[in-house]
Amino acid sequence: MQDASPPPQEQIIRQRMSMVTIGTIVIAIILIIRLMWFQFPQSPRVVAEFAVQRRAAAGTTQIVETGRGHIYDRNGNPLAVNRIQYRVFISPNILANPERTAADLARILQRDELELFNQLRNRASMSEFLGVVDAEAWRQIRDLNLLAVEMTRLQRRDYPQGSLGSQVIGFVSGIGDESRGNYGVEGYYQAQLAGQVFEQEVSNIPFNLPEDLSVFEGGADLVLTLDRDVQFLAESELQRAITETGAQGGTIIIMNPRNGDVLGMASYPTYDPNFFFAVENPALLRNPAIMNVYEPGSVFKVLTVAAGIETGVIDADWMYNDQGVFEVSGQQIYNWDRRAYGPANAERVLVDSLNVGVATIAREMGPELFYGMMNRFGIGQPTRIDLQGEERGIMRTPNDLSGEWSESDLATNSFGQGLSLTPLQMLTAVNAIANDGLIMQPRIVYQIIDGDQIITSNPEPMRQAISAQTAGMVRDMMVAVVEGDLDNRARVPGYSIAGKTGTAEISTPLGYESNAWIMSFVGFLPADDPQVSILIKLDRPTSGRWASEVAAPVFSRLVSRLVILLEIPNDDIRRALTESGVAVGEQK
Amino acid sequence: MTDRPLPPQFIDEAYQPAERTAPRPRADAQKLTFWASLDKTTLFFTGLLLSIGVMMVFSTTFDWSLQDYDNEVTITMMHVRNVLIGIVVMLLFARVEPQWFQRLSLLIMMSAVSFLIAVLLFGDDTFGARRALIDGRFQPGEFAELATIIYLAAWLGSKKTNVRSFTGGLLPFTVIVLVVITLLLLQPDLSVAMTVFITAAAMFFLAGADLRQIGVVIIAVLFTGLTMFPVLQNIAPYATYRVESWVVGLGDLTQASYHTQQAAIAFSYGGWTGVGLGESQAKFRALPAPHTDSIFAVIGEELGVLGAGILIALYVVLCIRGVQISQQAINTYSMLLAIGVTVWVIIRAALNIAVMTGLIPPTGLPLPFISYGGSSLVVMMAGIGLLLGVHRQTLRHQNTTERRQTVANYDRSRRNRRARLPRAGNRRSDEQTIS
Repeated sequence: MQDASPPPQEQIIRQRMSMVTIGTIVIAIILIIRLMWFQFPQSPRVVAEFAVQRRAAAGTTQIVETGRGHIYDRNGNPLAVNRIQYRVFISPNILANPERTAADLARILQRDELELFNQLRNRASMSEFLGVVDAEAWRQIRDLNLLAVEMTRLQRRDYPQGSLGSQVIGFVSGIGDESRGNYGVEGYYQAQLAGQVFEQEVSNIPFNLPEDLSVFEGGADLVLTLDRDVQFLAESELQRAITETGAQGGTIIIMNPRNGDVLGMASYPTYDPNFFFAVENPALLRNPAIMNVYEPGSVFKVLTVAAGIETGVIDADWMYNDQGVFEVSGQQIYNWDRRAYGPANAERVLVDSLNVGVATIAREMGPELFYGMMNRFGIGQPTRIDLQGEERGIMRTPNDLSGEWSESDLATNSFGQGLSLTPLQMLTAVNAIANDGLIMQPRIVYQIIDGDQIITSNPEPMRQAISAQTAGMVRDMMVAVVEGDLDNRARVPGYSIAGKTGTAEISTPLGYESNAWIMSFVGFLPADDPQVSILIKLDRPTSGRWASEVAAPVFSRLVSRLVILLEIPNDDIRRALTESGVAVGEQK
Repeated sequence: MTDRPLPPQFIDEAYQPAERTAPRPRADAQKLTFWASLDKTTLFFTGLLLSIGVMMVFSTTFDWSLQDYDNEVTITMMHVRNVLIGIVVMLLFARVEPQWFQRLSLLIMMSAVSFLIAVLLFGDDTFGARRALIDGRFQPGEFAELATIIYLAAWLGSKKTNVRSFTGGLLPFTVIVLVVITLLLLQPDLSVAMTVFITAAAMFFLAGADLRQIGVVIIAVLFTGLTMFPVLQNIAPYATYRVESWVVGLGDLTQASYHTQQAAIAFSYGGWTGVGLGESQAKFRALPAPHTDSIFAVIGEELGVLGAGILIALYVVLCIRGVQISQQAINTYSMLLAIGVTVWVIIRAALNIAVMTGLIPPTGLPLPFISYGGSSLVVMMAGIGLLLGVHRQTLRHQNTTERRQTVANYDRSRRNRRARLPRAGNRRSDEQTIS
């Protein structure tokens, strides 16, 4: 038992302790005043800024795209589809654990971990772009449950067939609002294919109901007349031909002359639309079959002969004496081998490809009839195929206001020189001969599927260019061409084929190039009931001097595989079937 | 001699059983039950704060709880579990005699320091350095706060007036605090370091430090703060950015840091009475960590100035009660322990609220008893347990004194007194008798 007074320290503590209470009350008052201060009017600038931020935090505006329409071939194989990807952003300033996150993301994004970590370590940064990922990586990143990560949906066009048919299909550039089809079907049908792009308000407040999105529809799907297998055959044969002939490029078009369907349209060189942005030469993006013009050369002679027969200038009995040279306005025109063939009829003119012969026919017709007929064949006019960017070619006529036409043009035009056209124009004109004189509108889109509405385009006649009778006569002549003078190079055993070669010089602004030719072959089969017409064009082949040596064998090889693909029976079987009443010749 | 006010009504409560049972002959009836010895005021206000906390944690987490766990209350239930653990820890700490902490204070302090060192050593390979200890559930920084309070209470309490001397007071105090703060800064954990410093300084002052020495400490801190600023930039580069944006933000709210600005927006839109419980907009995306650091801003938005003010008032009441308990404590150690815990709780609350209202630069401190959190909540509850323990000590001491006065008449509970109350009581009981 001590009788001591409390130590002074106790007193001091008691004295000072009241300061804790006082201090706490003072701090509390300061804090409450501060809270009240927020309630008093702030400067209008602060109020405006706060209102903006409040609204921004309440929800985000997301750009939503409904899908762009898909593109299928005639058998339903996808040629262009949409792929959903995601852009990944991260906010390093609110990132809890950059090391761990860098390790996780590096694994998923397959990026260098250290490099990624350095990107995430920048704490002052509000948003860093990490890249574009597919759905699988998106799911993995989402499962990491990182608050700092934000991913936005991105719709990308995907071409599952790669470069197959790329110049026909075209490509889509840009994203979201900016996305736009270029060239080919993508360009021509932009309005139908395009999905809707709209802004969606996404509320951050879970009590608010999401917007109804069902009112927005995607773009329409397209079904093409193109057959993926035929297209592949055309492309592979073209490539092989180019390798074998040393050509620098070329085009193959395969059509059904009966309805104008384009079954295959291949050109070389080409590109992969999935990587259109990596294409260095923009010319590759163009479709040469409809956008590049050339001088067709001798193939054109079938049109001259057909025109002569149709106008009554020549007939089956028509003969002329070939002297090997034709003079017009002081200019000499020779046959291809500079030979004089003596008396010859129209068939010999085609079989021997006599320049003098067709020039003679053209002169007998006169410019008015000749050019009138050429117009009916569609020369100098676009075919109006549903592909973007078609060229129309150039054919000078006496009616031209420019007055550039001269007498000699008539003679050279008669065998396909001094005028230019696209491969498709050439084939379309020959289709008249194959289809009893009736030109069908060439088309590439067979069906438009818009929601539950299917619009099927019907074959559309373009023009009766010549009579069926004339067509039959010229067709027989073209069969003779293949059977006669080509050393059987274009023939396919068992099938009657009508065709014509063309070896054209290449015109430049300075005149014709020497030692370079465009060699082409146009033909259709079976000759008596054509189901498929084909144009083959090779640019500057070096393996031979004449199309009969270079282009005709390519045609033969292509057709021998094409008839299997399209299930075209050989003539004997077909005739037997026809006699027994089976319909033959319907495209599958 | 002492003119200490006589125990207020709380003591009367404790007296009641004694008085009521006084005529009864059996000694056991005089014994205070554990429940009766607990301070109901502290319990009530702590419980109120915890309930508000559970409510607000639910309000801020139901959204992503539903998203992440398919259940709105999963995260809230995790918080409730932490609260229950906290209550158990509080009761344990209340049960233990405060003297035990006094005896173990050096050991506690040394283990806290070694935990801090262990974190620095083993926390190397991961960013979350604290994870090194007990499965990531234990943050040595939080423990260090409590350990520092216990140790300083024991040390300063035993110093008596020697605290005033330089070699006996300021120098060792500075060394102790510097060691802890340096270890915390190396983590780095600026917020906890700051809490430790302010609490320690307050205890040093309360323990009777020379005011001139306090002045020296303040000048030294200011000086170090200014000269060490470039060093701080290296330790924690983000801190510089925070301080800069705070300075700008004080003048112009639109230039404040994102966090401060979003909190200010929440307060502005909350108005005087709030947008209504659960109706906050800022918690869904704008405010970072709405359930922990930013929970006060959500309270401000949902319950307005009124609700937030009441919350602040609750802390003030808790503080006043803490000061009362401290004043009634039977020795300097218990006084300092109680006041240390009180100051600590208040500082943490004040820092959080001041950060949210943009008055000081942003730090990552939770709001005591309200914010979602495991280790910080449990440590705060342990602190409340210490406070309750000091109060129990006082009560028992008074009870014994009372009984000692009646022993002459009834002669009972001698065994009990001997076992329960050692030395400390004797001196004081005399004092009581005299007064």
